[in-house]
Amino acid sequence: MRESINPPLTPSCNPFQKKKGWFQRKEMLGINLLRLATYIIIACALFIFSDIFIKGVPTLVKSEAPFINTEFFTESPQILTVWHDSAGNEYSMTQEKHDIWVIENPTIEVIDIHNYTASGGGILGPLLGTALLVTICMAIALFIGVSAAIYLSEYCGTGKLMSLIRLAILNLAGVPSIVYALFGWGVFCYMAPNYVTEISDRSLFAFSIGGGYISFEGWEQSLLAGGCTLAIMVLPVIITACEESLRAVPKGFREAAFALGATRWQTIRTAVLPYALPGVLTASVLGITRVAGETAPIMLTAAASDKSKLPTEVLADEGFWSFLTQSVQALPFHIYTLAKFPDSEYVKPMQYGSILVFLLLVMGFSLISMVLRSRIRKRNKW
Amino acid sequence: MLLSNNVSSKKTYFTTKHKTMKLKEIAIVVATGAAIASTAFGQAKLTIKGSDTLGAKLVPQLKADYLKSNKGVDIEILAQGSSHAFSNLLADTADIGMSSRKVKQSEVDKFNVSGKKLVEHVAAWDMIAVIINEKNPVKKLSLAQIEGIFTGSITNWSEVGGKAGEISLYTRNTSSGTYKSFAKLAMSKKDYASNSQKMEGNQPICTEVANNLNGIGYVGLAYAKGNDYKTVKVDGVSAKPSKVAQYPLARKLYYYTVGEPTSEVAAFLKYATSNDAANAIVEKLDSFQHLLLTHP
Amino acid sequence: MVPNTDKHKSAKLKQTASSEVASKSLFKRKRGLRIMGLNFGTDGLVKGFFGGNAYLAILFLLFICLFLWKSAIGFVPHYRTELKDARRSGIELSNIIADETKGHQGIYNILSTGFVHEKRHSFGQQEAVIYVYEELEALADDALEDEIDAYLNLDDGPEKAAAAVGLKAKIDAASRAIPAAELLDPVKLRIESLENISEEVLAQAIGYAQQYALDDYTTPAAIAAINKDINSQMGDYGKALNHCKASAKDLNTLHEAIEQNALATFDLLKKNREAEESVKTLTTGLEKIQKVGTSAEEVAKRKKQINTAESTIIKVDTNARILPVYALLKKHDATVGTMKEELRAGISMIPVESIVTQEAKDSVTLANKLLVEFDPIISENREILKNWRHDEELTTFDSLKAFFFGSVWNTGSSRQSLFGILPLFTGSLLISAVAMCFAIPLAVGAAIYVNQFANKREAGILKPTIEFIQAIPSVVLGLFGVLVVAGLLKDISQVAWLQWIPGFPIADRLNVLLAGILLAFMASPTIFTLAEDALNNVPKAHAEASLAMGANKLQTTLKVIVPASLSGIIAAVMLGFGRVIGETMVVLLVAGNMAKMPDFTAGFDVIGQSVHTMTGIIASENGEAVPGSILWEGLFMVGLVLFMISLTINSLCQRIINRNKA
Repeated sequence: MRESINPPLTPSCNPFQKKKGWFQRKEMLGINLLRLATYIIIACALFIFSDIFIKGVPTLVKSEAPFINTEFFTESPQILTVWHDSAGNEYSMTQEKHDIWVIENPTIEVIDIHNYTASGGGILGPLLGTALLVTICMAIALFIGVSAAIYLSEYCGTGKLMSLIRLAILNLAGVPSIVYALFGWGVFCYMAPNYVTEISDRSLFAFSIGGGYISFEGWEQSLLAGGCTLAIMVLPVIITACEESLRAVPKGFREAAFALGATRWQTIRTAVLPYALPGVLTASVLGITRVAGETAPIMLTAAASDKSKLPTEVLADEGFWSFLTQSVQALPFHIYTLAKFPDSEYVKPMQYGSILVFLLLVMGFSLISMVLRSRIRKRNKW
Repeated sequence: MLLSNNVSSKKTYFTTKHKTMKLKEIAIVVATGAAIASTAFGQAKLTIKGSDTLGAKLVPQLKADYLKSNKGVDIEILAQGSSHAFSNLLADTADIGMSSRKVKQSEVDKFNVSGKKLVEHVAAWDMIAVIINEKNPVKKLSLAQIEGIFTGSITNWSEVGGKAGEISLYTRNTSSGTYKSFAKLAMSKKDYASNSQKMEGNQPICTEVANNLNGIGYVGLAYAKGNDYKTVKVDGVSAKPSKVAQYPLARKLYYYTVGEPTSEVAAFLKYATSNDAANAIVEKLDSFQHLLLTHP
Repeated sequence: MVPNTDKHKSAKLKQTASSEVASKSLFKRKRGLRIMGLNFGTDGLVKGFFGGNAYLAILFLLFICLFLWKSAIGFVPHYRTELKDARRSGIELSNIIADETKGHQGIYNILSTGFVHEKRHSFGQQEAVIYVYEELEALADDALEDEIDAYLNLDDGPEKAAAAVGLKAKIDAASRAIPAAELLDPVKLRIESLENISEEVLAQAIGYAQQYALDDYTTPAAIAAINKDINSQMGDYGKALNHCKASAKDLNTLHEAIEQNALATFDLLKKNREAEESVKTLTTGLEKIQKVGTSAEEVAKRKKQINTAESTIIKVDTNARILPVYALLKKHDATVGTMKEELRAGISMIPVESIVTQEAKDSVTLANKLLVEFDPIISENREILKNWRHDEELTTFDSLKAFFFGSVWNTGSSRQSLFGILPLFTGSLLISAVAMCFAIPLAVGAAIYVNQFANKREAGILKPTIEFIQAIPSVVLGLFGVLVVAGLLKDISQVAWLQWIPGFPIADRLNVLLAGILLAFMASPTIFTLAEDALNNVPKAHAEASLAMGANKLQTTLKVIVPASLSGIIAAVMLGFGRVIGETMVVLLVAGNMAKMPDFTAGFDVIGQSVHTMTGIIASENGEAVPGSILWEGLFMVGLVLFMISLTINSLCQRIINRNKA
């Protein structure tokens, strides 16, 4: 596609060798400078990936089968206990295992014992928390976003008001996440309606219902508040992307359906949505990528730095509403918390392991969305 | 390809129906929006919020130990600074507040007027260590010198006997209790110099001081020992647990509750503030050996 | 072409009757259910559903704007009250005078640094005694830590006295056991001119170790004596310096007196304000409860609380309380005049000719220069103070001005909270500018290369790879910056032949340059993708025409294609800028969080300084903010500024992109 257009010049066929040679050299210099710029970016990326990969992989794999450190994915962050025996051997395991170990090995003397917070176990809690946050967020955002996009592209004309709204939505897609975080913090944490038995002083408005009150006092820092904040944040992105993919379906499809006497909804259902679906899918994966990587909104609206129960256990023990209004650990916030822990050889594996998993996760979603997009581009040639 | 009058009829379809649609749309909005249901209230869980000094290391480990004998309790910890403790206690979003400073009068007032009684429980003693880079030749600073440095009136190390060089200040951020405790203990409540870097936690301060020859910062005693940085003697007293009585920058750490604690909260606090159980934890704590759990 | 009347419909039904079988399953229409003129058929419901959600989304987004405005706008009157209280109590006045004392302190600091340098150079050996002693003390402390602790725990009595004797002997022995070389290095760090420490000095210092203070934590008298001795030997220089220091004594006393008075009033006002707030909250709380319905007992309890809260409100007569401040203020003109004259006299007393070291000489020159600059500040302050009235009205505009042009952001203070967005705004802007300096050449260069020069296979790899970078979460990049890049950058900045780079050598690990580099990396894919799109949109004919004229590929690219797509590239850069200025986690972790105006007098070296940012301040101070408090509103105000900036940038870009499309 972009082969050099100039034929290669050899000195022999060129009477003005000096001048042309200089030109050629100048051109090569220019091109090489541009090439250098490109490869600097690539080199930086490689440097970051390889550094995180090299330091993170030892946490994720182990030498014997199944070669994956399953504990890292099936346990929550725990306290790491490190100690020596009198022979100078070093032991390090989670505190729980240490307690069992001590009972099993009563003869070995434990000396020089140290505990490291959140450096043992795994990242199940944060992983689950992130998964739940993303699920709640995407459920809300897709439900509202896709319908809104359908409405905007299929039902609305291109009136002045509508194009203004479209422009506004497009603009909101670029608003910094911290602004959405601030909004979610103010609205969902302190103003949203909650079902309580006792009205808090900060409640804006309350009415009694059943045995308790519906009080507009917010959900505090919780799964629901975090999910909603993220949903609002990603809504403009989803609406814009979905609308774009809906618009990409050729007008002729709709006109053909109308010509056959289909109603508008029938047209949308049979002639538009099936063809726009891959695009909508891409948009949602794109949304997940953006949401999963966000830290600031989670920090303000949902995060707990340490939590003893898994979110699912709360669901089983305390019911659905408690489940929704619990604060959760989330992977990005967990990484932020780990950033504040000491520079110690015992903390580093956890730090880099978490980063690597998080990076792979977000990158994975990003890869999926890129593959999807390129496949759509190849396929949809109407 | 399509008849033009068909297109125009489509257009009228939308324009005529547009207004009536809106009412119905609003009805549906209300229906979808108001679908907020509540199901059940489960058992009481324990939410502990506040100081990073307590909440980053000590309390999580106390929690882990406590849960061994008290299974099924859900304990949540969020450590973002002492002010968090009071704002959350006031808003009923925490059961226990962790604070590295005594409650301010203005905060007490807020509790009073909303009819809540704040109860104080001493969690431990902590000493704020002033740390400098390992390679910095300065060994000791007087309290006046520390005040001068942190308020910005002393700006060069040579003025306090060090190697000439611009002093870099590292402090905690404003929501930290250590930030206020230090201002009170060392700076007679004066404002920090504007060229102080506000760090998000104790560890970032250690890291920066360890990497900056001209750095100075303060941390909870838990963080006082580390690579490439050291503590200075303050008024001749080194930051050691045995000198807690003489050391000018020693303070108590607190738990706060609204009203006398009951049931689960009381059980946890009783555990957390009992010398035997808690000291056992403290002994094992990574670099926390010097946090004293002496209860007056 | 959907017929919307029954007449049409029946006609259509007739028409399609023949092909009924084919169309039945696919496009079957039910007669809509009509209630009150609304069509509740499937189609109507579906449209209503979609429309409802669309309006819900729009409402939500509208609500964001409104909520931000609402929460932020409350800040203006609140801040006005705060500023008014500061004025009424005299804090404002005290701050103005503080500028003068700070100015004096600054000049004195410079002189004193020079003095210390000179002193160490001239009296290195005597200074060394002190430093060696300090080293010895610390080392002995380490070695005998347990024994000293045990001694301190003894009860007073003859036993303790006996223990002291034994311990002192041990300290003496321990200090003699320490090799001289070990003592020399740290001392040499302090006294750069020192080549070696004489035996005499060592012996003297070791001798002092015996006087090691066991129970009082003061410096031994002998050490203090040496200090005094050296200072006296510094002669005129020392005297001059003392003169300089003493010159501000009166001013400091005056300032302190004014401040004490002002602070007391300010605290009272603040307390009252809080009490009033509480009464308000309580009253509304009571109303809320009464609406829901509650027991009379509860109502009575709440009413009692309101009464208690009301009783804590005391009327503060600021007019009376300010009188002593005015009385003190009368002395100000004279005092500050004396300060300036005495300082000038002090500096002129310094025997410049006899100074040996260049550093000390430079310090005097600098001090003289600053003294000249100090003059206008003093006379300006005089004017301000002359017209200063504690009861002068503050307008809403003043409070807005204080927010947008205030150069101090200081919350969490036990004194007056100051919300000046300028340092944060400048910090954000500075970081973004540095980031753009890196990102624009790299990303636009990469876009040109991939679009114009790379062959198909290369482009096929490069493009997705660069786009892939976009997915790196900011917290990962931030942590990576702290763990790896910060140290690397600092090490590189120490390399001698790289000193021409602005900002080098870096003192603080966390600074503008580091944040800028990391953010440039973040913004690059955004700029790259959009710029590449813009280049792609240039009609082929342009390039072909240029090539036909004999221009080579590079010339064509730079002189035809890039100019043609320039507006698109500018839009790309602006969007990249928008992304950078709104980034939170990276700047929170690596910008250094120093809420101070960057010192632009340092020229380009400003990028080696630490700054705080608008996004960073929201993330780091939200923990302190109680809903409805002034800090809460202040943070929303910052959020609003961010919001407006990003909206402006985005809409500008949209306009450019749309114009290009058209």
